[in-house]
Amino acid sequence: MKNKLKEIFSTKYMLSILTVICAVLICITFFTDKATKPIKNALSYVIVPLQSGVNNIGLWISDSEQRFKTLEELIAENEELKKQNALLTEQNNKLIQDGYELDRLREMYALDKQYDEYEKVGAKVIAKETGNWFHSFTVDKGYNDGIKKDMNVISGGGLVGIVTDVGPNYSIVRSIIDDTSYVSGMVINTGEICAVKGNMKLYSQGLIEVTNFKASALVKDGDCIVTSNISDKYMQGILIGYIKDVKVDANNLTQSGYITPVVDFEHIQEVLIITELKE
Amino acid sequence: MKRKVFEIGIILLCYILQTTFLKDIALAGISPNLMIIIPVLFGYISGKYEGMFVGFVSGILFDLFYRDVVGFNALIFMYIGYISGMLFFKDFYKDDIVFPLIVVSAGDFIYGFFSYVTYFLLKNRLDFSYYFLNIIVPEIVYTLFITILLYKIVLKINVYLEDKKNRKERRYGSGTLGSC
Repeated sequence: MKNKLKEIFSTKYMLSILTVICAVLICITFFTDKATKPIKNALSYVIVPLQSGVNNIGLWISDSEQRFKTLEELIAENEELKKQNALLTEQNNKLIQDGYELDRLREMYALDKQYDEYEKVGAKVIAKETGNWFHSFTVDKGYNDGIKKDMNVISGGGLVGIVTDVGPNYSIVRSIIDDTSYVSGMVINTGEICAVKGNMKLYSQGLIEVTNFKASALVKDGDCIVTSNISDKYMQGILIGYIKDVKVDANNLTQSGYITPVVDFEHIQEVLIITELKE
Repeated sequence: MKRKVFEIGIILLCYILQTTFLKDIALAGISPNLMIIIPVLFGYISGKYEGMFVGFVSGILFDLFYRDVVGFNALIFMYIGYISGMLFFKDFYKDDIVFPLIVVSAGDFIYGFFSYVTYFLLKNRLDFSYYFLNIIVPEIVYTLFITILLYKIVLKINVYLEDKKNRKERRYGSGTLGSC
């Protein structure tokens, strides 16, 4: 009897101790991540290699699924690609000509750095967020490879997100479809500034929210949105996506609508991290 | 001690599966929540102390890398493990899987609800029914399915550990058993 009482008491005692520890942790981490940083760094040496290994198995499984595509599907896809190839070759020829002209003009105007001149480093996606409420993921490069917080991440020619946390051998990337994400964008040809916000509900339809266009701004479907020149974390001129359904808001001062992103966020396996920070 | 090492091993394994493999088998972008199953199962099978401990560790790990505020889910998971142990330890026959399923779904709902309130409602996303039907409920259903698969495995491992412990006690324990 005495033993049993003691056992109950000690469990309750432990419960209250752990509750206090949790409360203190919540308070500390609300303001700073200095307390959890050492734990994270130590754990990452165990977790990251394992995640990387298990992830490879997962990739292998999804690859073998791909192998079972039917012949008809492949033939149809081949036809499609051939058509596309012809079209692209034609476009490419035109672009090469334009490129020469552009080079000439750039020399004349001595324009400074362009988007494709940013220094980049490749990284592999090894793990994704634990719950279902966010869209962040882990890549296999950390501060040992020169990655810093707030570096921009791109993939497939478009903006994926930003590095929010760096460890020795991993970094956490928050993608622009995450509900907490906020990017300052602009229309590429007119320079109209807007705000690109992640929205979980909209993303299930494959869209991102875009707001704060001036009421006078001329925006139409299919306009190209890139990161703006006034953003303090995102480098200028990275493609985000294409405008869809912009309408004037109820307040008559601003316009808002949607963006179709260029990146396929469901199947990101490799990303490029721009190793320059915006000053 | 051996038990604690085993538990931490299981939690790490589940964490790694949660962040990699379970994301590959996600249906419509929703993956099951393995980290909430283990405190419930451990609480149910080996008592509230173990449930509480496992809940605390898995909750901390859940928050550590992907949340700004660490400890919130640890608090929820810990109490879920504790309640699971308090209600069901010894009182029910261990092959009965209905009660762990109820606790898992209640726990997953509480976790989902608090996630919605802290990260979405406070940002003026008021449409609770959308988040309830498209995220919370599918996650619960998928998690329940995984629980059924996992339950037998954890039960077997636990029986093995208990057996080993009993055998050791018989061998090195008080002389009364040894003499007969």
